[in-house]
Amino acid sequence: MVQFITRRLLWLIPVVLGMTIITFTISNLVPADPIRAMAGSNARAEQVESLRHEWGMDKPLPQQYLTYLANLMRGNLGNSIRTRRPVMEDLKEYFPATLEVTLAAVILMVAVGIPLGVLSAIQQGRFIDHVNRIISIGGIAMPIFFLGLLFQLIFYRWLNWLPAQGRIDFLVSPPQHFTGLYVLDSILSANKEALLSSLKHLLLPALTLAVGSLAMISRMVRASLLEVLVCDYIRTARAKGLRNGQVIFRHALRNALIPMVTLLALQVGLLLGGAFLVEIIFSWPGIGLYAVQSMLAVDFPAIMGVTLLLVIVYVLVNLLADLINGSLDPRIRLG
Amino acid sequence: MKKFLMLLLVVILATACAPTSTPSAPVSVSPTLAPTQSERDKTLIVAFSRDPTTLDPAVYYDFEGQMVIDAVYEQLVTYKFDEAGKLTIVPKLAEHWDISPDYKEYTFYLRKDVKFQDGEPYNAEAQKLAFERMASINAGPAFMVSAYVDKMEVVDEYTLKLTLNGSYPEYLDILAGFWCPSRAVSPKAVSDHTVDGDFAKDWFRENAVGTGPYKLESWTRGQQIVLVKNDDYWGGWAGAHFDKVIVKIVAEASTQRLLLEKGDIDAIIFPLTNEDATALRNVPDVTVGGSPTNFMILMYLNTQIEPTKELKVRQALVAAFNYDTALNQIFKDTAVANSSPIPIGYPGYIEVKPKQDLEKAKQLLAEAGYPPKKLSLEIEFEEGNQTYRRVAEMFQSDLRTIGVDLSIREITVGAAWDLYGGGPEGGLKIFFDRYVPDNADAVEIMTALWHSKLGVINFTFLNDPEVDSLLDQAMATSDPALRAPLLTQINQILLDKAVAVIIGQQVQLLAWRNSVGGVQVSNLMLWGFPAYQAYRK
Repeated sequence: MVQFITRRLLWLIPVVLGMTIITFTISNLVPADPIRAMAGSNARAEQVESLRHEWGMDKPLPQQYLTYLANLMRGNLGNSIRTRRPVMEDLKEYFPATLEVTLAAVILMVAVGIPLGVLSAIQQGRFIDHVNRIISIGGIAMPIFFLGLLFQLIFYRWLNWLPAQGRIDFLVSPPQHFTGLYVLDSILSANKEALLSSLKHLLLPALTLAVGSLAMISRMVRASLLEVLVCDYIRTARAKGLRNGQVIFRHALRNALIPMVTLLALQVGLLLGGAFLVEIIFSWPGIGLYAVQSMLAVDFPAIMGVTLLLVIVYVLVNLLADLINGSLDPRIRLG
Repeated sequence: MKKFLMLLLVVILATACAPTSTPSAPVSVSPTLAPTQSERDKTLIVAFSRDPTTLDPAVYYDFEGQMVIDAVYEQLVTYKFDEAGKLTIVPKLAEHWDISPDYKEYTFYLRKDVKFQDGEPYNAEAQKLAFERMASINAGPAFMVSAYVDKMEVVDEYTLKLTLNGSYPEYLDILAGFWCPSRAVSPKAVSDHTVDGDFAKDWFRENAVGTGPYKLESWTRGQQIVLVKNDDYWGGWAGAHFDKVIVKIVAEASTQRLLLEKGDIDAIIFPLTNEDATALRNVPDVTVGGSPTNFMILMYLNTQIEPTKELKVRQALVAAFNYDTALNQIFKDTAVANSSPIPIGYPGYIEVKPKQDLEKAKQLLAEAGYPPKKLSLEIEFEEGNQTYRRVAEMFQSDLRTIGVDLSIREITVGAAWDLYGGGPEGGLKIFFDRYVPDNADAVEIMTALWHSKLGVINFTFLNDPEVDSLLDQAMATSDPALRAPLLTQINQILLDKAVAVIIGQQVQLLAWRNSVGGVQVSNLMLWGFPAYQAYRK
């Protein structure tokens, strides 16, 4: 097991290295002069050159790349051209917000998607199955940005139940900082007001983000469960006289979940991508918002930092999925 | 199953606790109370689309967070519109000033009743430090010090004398512009937070201590900037003002609109698009207001490479453009017509009202040899600008009717500078942009755009000895009466040479709730309005 994890983590090195080469090359192929843009339109030539020197952009490209790598080893992602602070600091500030909304979406996905799928499977062909099918197909088909605007219109403009943007109310201070996840921080600091406010703000973005994946998961659970339910060992279980619930949850669902975990891991990747749109629509201050603003400012160090972070998260999530699968099914246990 | 749940729990906890080392987010220990109506009434909440890059007045050289900089930091002198709508320079931190007849020595007599927000006294030493700090950090508008100031002298506690390295009649304008070198920062804060002689550059990026009416309370990136009133402000708090100002960062324009319609925010300070302006005009409790800026919207024609090197081709392009449709159908409220190279009301302004004349354009092109030669052109503009795209597409289809191919290329701001750096052959062929001057001095503006050597943004790559020499003369003269005719002459040459398709001047549109009074929309502050003057009705 330990060996397996170590091997997988070691694989991160070539992946990250390859990634930096690709992003670095693309960044520098794009015809753009971020330093000139940063200096401002009326800046004098000498000033631009001195800035270029200060940011190390006057050196040959291979040298710039090696400097970048050397800094990366020390955990330094360089300085953002736009915010003018270390990219690492920016990521630390923006990533918890993305993590919060993604986790909330995953929880919704699992807590709603799986039961919905189970329900549809055992009620196959009945009313609840049809309703679920309509919702699921709608959820999969609806683009995230449209759904986000629709939710804003319904729940904010018309019903006035939920806020349209941000992580917390204007006049409520954010909870004391522990993890950067407002909901968790509010619980840890026993701040009831901040908890309520941040939960209210979290709901719409998380729902928007989750709907597509949730629908997908519930369809997959249904299909997978139906497949398992006709297996011999299920018949055996029933023949033993086990109760229906036990058959479904202990025998059928466990086996039906294996493909689900892999799918879930892939969905987390999709969620991180979808978070870009959700964060813009709901002004959610996460790395999606940060990345888009950085791209508009041709802020190469920031863009590379975000890409790197997403790659690492993606690899880790997939590793976790493999570990979970191993614990679900001894046959694919690793190590 | 149990194992699975355990693992899931572990996963969630592990990922949740990962970034615990983040040190910097604001920590509020005091229990917060639900906002009361009166608290909301005393708070001005405005929405803006993105975070400022920096709050340091010595580095600041963009639009984001203008309202914050303006509320916290003050300059020696500032612009004001008089009743006739003309700009005049008025005192701020300087009570009055003397300028030597040769425009080389500027002596400022400072207010004696000013304190920084940390209690430090404001005096000539502090003002001198602001200049030195900007020159030393050498970012943003630092050239406004380094390219002009020779030496600074503290005459007495409240008198500062600047000696310039030449005769610069426009220097007072440079000090009065929004981006200027004279915004005073607290010397104590500078010395307390200086690391390795950096003049506290890192600290001032996200902290602020100035002399202005509002103090920076907090800045939560991607969320909001909170300002609270500075009780000791020298201007006093008589009359109606807000106690607190919150700048909310709201990325999406449609979300900003929703918030304003519902009254959750008081104003949108990011320039409105036509669509948003039209929609908001129909909302009962919202005012949409605008003011023409001195931003010129124009298509720079590259005067050094074929085919736009040919005068006849350039003239044909100027004749082929449909000014009426562009202004009335596309720019609508966001621009006013002006086809002179200088903003309306500036010295040297010539009223020109070009009309589209495709026949004339065709004729001019025939004279230049197109056809039989095939004319293919390229226009470049800022990526994602919907308005510019529509204008370019209109121009493209009009040109097609007279046999000219216009290809459209959208580029980022960074890319535009990269191409400009390559000189006339660098790739900017017809660059469609707006020009944002630092201040209201006509000679400054014209030099930046059209001087072959001193022009820092000479996007047409114009190299005209006559224009250069007239600009040199205008720069050497301090008398406005002598400058105006020179400028008129320059503008006439530029029009005759058809160096650009000049469309108009940008209008800045902001929207605010009717319950807010004292909103001053002007080109003195482009993205926002002075918070100190605003109040709740």
